[in-house]
Parts: sequence; C-alpha cells; structure tokens
Amino acid sequence: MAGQPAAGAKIAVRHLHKTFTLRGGQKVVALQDVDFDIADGEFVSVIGASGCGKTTLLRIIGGFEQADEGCVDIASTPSASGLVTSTVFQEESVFPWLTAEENIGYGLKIRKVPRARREEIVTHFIDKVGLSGFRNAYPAQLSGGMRQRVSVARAFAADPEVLLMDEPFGALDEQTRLVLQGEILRLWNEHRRTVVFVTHNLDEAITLSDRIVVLGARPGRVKAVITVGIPRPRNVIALRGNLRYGQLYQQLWDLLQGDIAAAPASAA
Amino acid sequence: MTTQLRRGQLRQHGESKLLWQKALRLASPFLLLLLWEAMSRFGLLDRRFFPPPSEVIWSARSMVQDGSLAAAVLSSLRRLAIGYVSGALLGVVVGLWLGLSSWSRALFEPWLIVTYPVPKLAVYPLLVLIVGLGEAPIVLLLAIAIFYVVAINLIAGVLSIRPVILDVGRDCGASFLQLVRTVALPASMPHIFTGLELAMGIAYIVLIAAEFVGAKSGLGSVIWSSWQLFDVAPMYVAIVTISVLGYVSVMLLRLLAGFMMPWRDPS
Repeated sequence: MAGQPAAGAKIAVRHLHKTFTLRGGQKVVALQDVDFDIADGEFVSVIGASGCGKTTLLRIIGGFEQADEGCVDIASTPSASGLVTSTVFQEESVFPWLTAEENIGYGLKIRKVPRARREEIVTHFIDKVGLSGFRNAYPAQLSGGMRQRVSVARAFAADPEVLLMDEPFGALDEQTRLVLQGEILRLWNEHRRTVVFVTHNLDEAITLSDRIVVLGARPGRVKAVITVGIPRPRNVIALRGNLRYGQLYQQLWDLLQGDIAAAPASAA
Repeated sequence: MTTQLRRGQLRQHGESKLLWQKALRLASPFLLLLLWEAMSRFGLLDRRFFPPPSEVIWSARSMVQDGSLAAAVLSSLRRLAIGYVSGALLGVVVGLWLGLSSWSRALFEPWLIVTYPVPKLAVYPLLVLIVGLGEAPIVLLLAIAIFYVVAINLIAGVLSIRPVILDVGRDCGASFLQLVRTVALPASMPHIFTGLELAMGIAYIVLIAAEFVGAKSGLGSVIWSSWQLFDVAPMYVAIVTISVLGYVSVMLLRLLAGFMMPWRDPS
C-alpha cells in the first residue's frame, strides 16, 4: 500500500520523516515514519504529548514546511473553486488592522470573489459563529474567544477541501473552549469536509472526531489510530455521560501516559 | 502619653490644587517670557544677544508685513516636502524589501549599517560637487537623511511581524505581491509612522543646517544672514517659526497615523 492512497482517501500521509537541528547541533526527530490515511469528509484528530511533532505534521499537510522524507498526497477535486487547505492557527492570527468581517472575507478577496458573493458568505459565517453584532469591530475590541471565532469563520468561509486546525482553542479558558467545540460540531455538520484537528486535549479529541491518531513522543510516530464511534449529532456536555466516552478516555490516557511522564520540561 | 493620628481623611483642596497646577503649567512659558523681558530691559541680560521678546514681536510683525517671513517659510517647506516625501517613499520600499527578503538583507543591510553613522551634513559638500549649488543638494541631503531612518525602522518592523500573520496570508493563497500589500505593509504601519516621526525631527535639523550654507532663501538663511548683520531679532523670529512648524508637522503626522490606522485605538 506504500505510495498509493487507499481507495476513497482524501489525504494520504506517507512515511513522513522530519528532523530538527537545535541550536548547538543536537538533533530531534520530530516525525518518524508517520503513515496514515484520512477519508473524504472525515474528522480526524491528532493527539499526543507536548513536543511530539503534531504541529509539524499539520504544517507539512498545510504546505508550510517540507518533510525530510515521505510526502502527503491530497486528492483534490479540480472543479472546486476554493482552496485545497485552510488553517486555523493556535496563535492569535486575525489581522489587527481589519474588522471582523474583513478578516473573515480576506481569503475571498485575495481570490477575487465578487463583492456581492463575498458579502453573502461572510454574513453567513459571521452569523454562524455568533458575531453578527461585531461585524465592524476591530480585533482589539474583541475578546480572545471572539477573535478565535473570527479565525474559525475565516477558515470555513474560504471553502477549503480540507480544514486544518492547530490547537485552535488551546489558549482559551475551559468554558469558552466548550462553547467553541459546540460551534465547531454544528458548523461541521452543515459544512461537511475533511478536518485534521491537532490537540493535546483528550476530551476535545473524543468530542469532535471520527477517528483519533495518537502520536508517540520523541520520536513522533503513530502509536494507534482509534475509531471514536459515538453517533452524531453530538452534544458537547451530554456526550460525557456516554459509556464509550469513558472507555476512550482511559484508552487514550494509557497510550499517552508514558510519553507525558518522560517529556522534558523544555518541550514546546 | 498617646497622640491621635488621623489618616485617610478626604482633603478638601485636592481638586482645586490640581486645577491651579494645570493653570500654572499653561502660564509657565509666558512667565519665562515675562522674566526675559524684564531682565533684558533692566540690563540683566545682554540686549545684543537676548533682545526683549517685545522687540522680537515687532520684528516678526514687520517680517509678516513685508512678506519676507512667508517667503522664507514657503521656500523651506518646499525643500522639506520634496526631500521628505521622496526619502520616505524610498525608505518604505527598501525597508519592506530588505525586511521580507533574507537574501537581500544579507547583501544590503551591512551597507546601510556601515553608512548610517556618517553625519549626513558631512556629505553636503560632496553633493554640491556632484549636482551643483542650489536646491538640488539640499533636497537630496534631506532625502538621504530621511531614507535611512525610515528604512532602518521599517526593516526592524517587518522582522517583528509574528510569523503566523504571514502564514495566514500564504494560507489564504496570497501571492508575494499580495502578501506585501495586504499583510506586510499594514502590519508594519506602526513602525513606518515611528520612523516618519523620528525623521521629521532630523529633517528640520538637516534642512536648517543646509540652508545656512547653501541657500539664499528659507528660514536657515534668515538665521544666517541676521547673524552676519548682527541683528538678532529676525533670528529669534526664525527659530520660533521653525519650532512651531516642527510641532505642527508632527501633529499632522499623528493625525495621518490615526487616519491610516483606525484599528490601533478604536473607540
């Protein structure tokens, strides 16, 4: 199967290797022979201890970095007018000089989507993320959670074939995080597409995903791929009473426990 | 024996004290002028160097009436505007370019760093040799001085853009030129204006100094000729005019900054 995506795979991650050289010449293997498939329309989380290379993996899929060996094949549909991938970053990434609606419509404007159509798309997503009252607000006037909503709306508005999310709610407080997870579930239900979601949060991975790729740390390699199997539509809170939820949590924790204990304090 | 110590009681005069201090702050420069006037009149200051402000005001009046002040201001501002704008534009282009391209930075940044500390006025005679006397060397000198400040500030500004901000642009499919125009330029706008404001101060210094030696018109030449004629009142008029012009220029620049960056201080 090497080199050939399985039938129906949207993304084929093939034997990725990536090594970083730290200052001082020390080499860190971020990814070692990482190999898995993601089906079209599937929501897949990548989970692992700090420093296991999950962000590196996402950046390679997004085209921001190159692998030392191996590759990522994305089965792109040529007819699609939107982007192949669109990313929600962990760091705060809205443009401070654009209003909420200008931020959401930025990618559309870059790709010269006609104004009227742009307005329509932006209005749709600004409503979806509950920012209708803040269309003309600058990021400085919004809370951290609202700014991340803008980022999420921007990624969806770009109409990508694949959505990449790099710990998008990592910097938010728990309550805001739960609310945004709920919003992601709703948005994704209406706008089904392939999602790769990087997180270190076990609850988040179980809540959102169809499957969870567990990466081991140092070197980062695929430890297990787990099918969640909890029916949709899901409710962020009600889900936690599900028997399967507890089992999954235990299973993930058992897989990660060793890595977390072994992680050096300096791991980023 | 014990004494009662009371603390924290509201002081009745707190607010009026602040008001009086504010008034004093406003009146203070005029008090200085008054003091100067008195000392000059009573011979405590040498009138030849420090004529009483009233005499300076008379001199200003006649310079306004015969149009010589307006002529001097106009020719100075014309040089300033041409030199400043062309230097700033070049500085923005080079600053963005070197900030974004690490290869060009490796090649050209050392040139900037090596030549930056050269006092710009030291180059004036050379410029005169190259382009001749008149307006050209003054305007060129201004442009050079402004270019350095704007370019060096902007390189630092572009380098301080968080990488994720540029990643967002790339992620949205922006081409290099689109990235420059829609991300790098607005993201470094605050640094551009910091550079422009620093450059404004330097511009007046360079302008006046160049006009001392290289111009027959302008505020610098008014100062120089009144020194040669030993008639200091017009000199004071020119100095005050320069300081007012400098203040107004910076205020206009800040107004422009607020207009260009409404996102910085949204109300």
